[in-house]
Amino acid sequence: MSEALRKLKMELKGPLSLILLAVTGILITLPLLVRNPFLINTLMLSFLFGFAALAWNLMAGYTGLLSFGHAVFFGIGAYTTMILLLWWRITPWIGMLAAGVTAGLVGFVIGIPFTRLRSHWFALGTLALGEVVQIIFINWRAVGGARGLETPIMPQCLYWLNFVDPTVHYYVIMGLLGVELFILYLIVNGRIGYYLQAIREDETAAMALGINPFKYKLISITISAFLTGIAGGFYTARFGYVDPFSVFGMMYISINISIIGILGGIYSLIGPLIGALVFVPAAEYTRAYIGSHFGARFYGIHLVAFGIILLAVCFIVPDGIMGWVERRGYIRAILGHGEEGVGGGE
Amino acid sequence: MNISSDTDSRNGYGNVFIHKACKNEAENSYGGQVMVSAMAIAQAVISGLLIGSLYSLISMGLALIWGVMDIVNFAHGDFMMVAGYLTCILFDYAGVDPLLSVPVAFAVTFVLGILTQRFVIDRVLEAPPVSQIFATFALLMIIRNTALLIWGPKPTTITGLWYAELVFRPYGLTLSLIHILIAVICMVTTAILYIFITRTYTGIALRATSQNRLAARLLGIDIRKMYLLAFGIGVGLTGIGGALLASFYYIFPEVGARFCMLSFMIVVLGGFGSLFGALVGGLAIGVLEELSALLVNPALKDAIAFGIFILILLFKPTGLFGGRET
Amino acid sequence: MASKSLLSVRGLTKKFGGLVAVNNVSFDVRDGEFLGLIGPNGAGKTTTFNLICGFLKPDSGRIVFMGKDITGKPPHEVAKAGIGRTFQIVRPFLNFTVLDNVVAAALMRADSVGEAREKALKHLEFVGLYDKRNWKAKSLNIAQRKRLELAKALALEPKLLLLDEAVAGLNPTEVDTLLELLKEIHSSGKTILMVEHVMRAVMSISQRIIVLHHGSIISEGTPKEVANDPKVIEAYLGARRVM
Repeated sequence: MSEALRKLKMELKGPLSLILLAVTGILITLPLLVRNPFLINTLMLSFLFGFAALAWNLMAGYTGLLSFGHAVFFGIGAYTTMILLLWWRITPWIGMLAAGVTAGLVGFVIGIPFTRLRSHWFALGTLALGEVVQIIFINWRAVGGARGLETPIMPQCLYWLNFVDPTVHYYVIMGLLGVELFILYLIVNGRIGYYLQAIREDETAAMALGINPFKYKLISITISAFLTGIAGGFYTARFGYVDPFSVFGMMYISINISIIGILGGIYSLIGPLIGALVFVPAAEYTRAYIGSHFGARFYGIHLVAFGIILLAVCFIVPDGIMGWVERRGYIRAILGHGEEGVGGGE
Repeated sequence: MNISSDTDSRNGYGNVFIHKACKNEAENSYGGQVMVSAMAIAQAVISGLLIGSLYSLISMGLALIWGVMDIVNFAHGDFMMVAGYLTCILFDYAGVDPLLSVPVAFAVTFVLGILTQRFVIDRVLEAPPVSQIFATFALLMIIRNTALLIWGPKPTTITGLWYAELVFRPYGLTLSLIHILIAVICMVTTAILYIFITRTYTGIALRATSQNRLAARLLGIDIRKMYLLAFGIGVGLTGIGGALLASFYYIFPEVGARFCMLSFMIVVLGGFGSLFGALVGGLAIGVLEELSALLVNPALKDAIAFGIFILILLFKPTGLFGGRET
Repeated sequence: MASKSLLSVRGLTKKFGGLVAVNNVSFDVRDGEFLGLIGPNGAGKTTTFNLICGFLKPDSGRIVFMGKDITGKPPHEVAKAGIGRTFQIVRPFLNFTVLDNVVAAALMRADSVGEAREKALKHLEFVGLYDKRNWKAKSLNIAQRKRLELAKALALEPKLLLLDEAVAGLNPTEVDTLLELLKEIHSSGKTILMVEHVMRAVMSISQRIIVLHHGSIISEGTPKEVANDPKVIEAYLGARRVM
């Protein structure tokens, strides 16, 4: 851990910190400068999906476990927060934490058998799992069934994290994102990070180095599930309504997150965040634009576009935007010093 | 707020197949309440076998692609959907009986498959699994949403077939003519496939490629042609399935999803690459599905199917007949 | 000087279907020795190797390392017990840098990444890859990759080093360089078991040789003794009369 902190301090000394400061400054002051709720809402959504995609990428990019069922963790987090709120009047702040813990536990339990599966089978298995869980919740009347659950009328205040205006939620998710990035940075630059990536690169060779693949894959899944659960909890806090079709949705959650991840670049830490900041606004604005200009008839055209983009990414830049950026040497130029570490220079 | 809520897989169309052509109350038990007679079970088994033959067809296509090319095609079900729409169009505009459209469906889907293989699959064959998975998934998104754009989300179906309501009632069972015809076509196709891969040179070459790529190459077999052929035929088989499906079920953009998952499950159950395994697996799953709809809450039918899939993945990934794991 | 047995293999057997790859094999690796394991193709060398390292489970037999029974233990536990191995077809982490490859290995004997990094640098220096430490492993040629593999195995700080065809695919100069490295490792006190196909290499460096054929040991002794053993000659060349 100390080594990772040391590395972070070193990186912050360079031009990187100025860029970080500038960007953060802009993001923080944005709601005050621009009175556009749609923009703020879109950015908030981008942060939310980015948050989830970063969590997803701990498994996909760093451990090589491609999950198409992350909606399971998201949905469980969302429902946990909602149930705690609805039945026991527990504030979403605690609810989000509980969401993470619950999702993490579920991830742990699922992980035990699932870590035995390799690439394609793991992906298929998670896909099937996502469908199973969604169907269960659709038919589970005790937690709302197909109609879902709705928050009661609550006062708009910080305690209940309940506001119509997206500004507060915007700041909250930004803060959560910052914390998550910090945690992930420490993880991937520490022992766990090395071991996970070794497993991704070559599991057999990793075993010869004393690495227990089962143990570390399980760690990866649990942490990923925990973080994704928190994202689900935030969703509840923001939207006040959960139903199996949205929070357990394969297309809406699982696939979205993976597209965002691979678009941004699964082999870098902030890749998924970049992917979210590109993809979600694009999705929101094209949907709004097409919706208002062409009506519902052309619904789906943006999805075709996304499919084409995804295909292009697979063909041309399989390591996503960040991979492309890194290969161009921009990162190294900006940072000034030679990039050491996994995936570093030549 | 939903980015793509319309394209979520809803469970609304997961009705038991038999309901459309045969209204037999014995099917409608919700578990526990109605006494299930031996007749009902026999009925379920027969229906399961009939529907299972359709599943087998689609799964054999997947098994063929998997065996020869070692790739998991997530868009497999969507080719079926396209063929289904094609059949509906032929019926609506040219009055062509869906069962007669079968060869056309095969031909068109075959060509589509070859094009897909040539321009999409080929590029990611050597790429890491991540790229492969995403590429075929992207294909899924493109095909499915293009269909959504063209035809809208509402299901379409073929109505007015002169033989749609014809049923036989031997020994108190109910067998609809359509299902029997479908099963017959499936069997004929399977027979043709069998002859192809065991008696023709190309077919044997295909099997050789699936067993040992390098050896096949050394024997002078053009691997690239094999890939094209395998993908084309594999997808063509689902095209036949789509045409058959259109004759008695609904066609909508998402219909491929369910069959895709089912066929994956069947192929895993039967052992990857094994055509025979896919055949048997398809029939088995068909029966299983009908039985579970009869004995258990039909709404959970899919969940049970997927659940079994997961269990198979976990405990017997080589399937019943397969020898090769990845 | 009675050298104690570091690794003792007793009655090791492994079948693949009807084929008996390793047939009731027993031998000792003595503390501090350089033992060579040779045999014609298909003799069962790599299978024995993988059985010891935990990548295969034996059908019967026992493997005892430093007094501990490691029969059938998974590879990561065998590594932790003190056995380091290289692979016949080298397996570097291609997208890692050379340094990170060794760090991943050194982490087993280090409390922190920082400590692992320092140790890794020393091992890289030893095998002569220090100046390439920031290269991506995929940029290395085969000889360099073999040295990287060696560095990783050394970073595990093993008591016993298992080398699987360490010099296969190298030209004579590269072979000599690697052998020099191995001699240094040996003289620093490590016990080495080397499975090898290149006769010149294994004969020149081993103190003792075991010969496998069709899964059984057919000869044991110094390189000179084994080279002159008619059974060994027959195994490699067929019937004696051919000569």
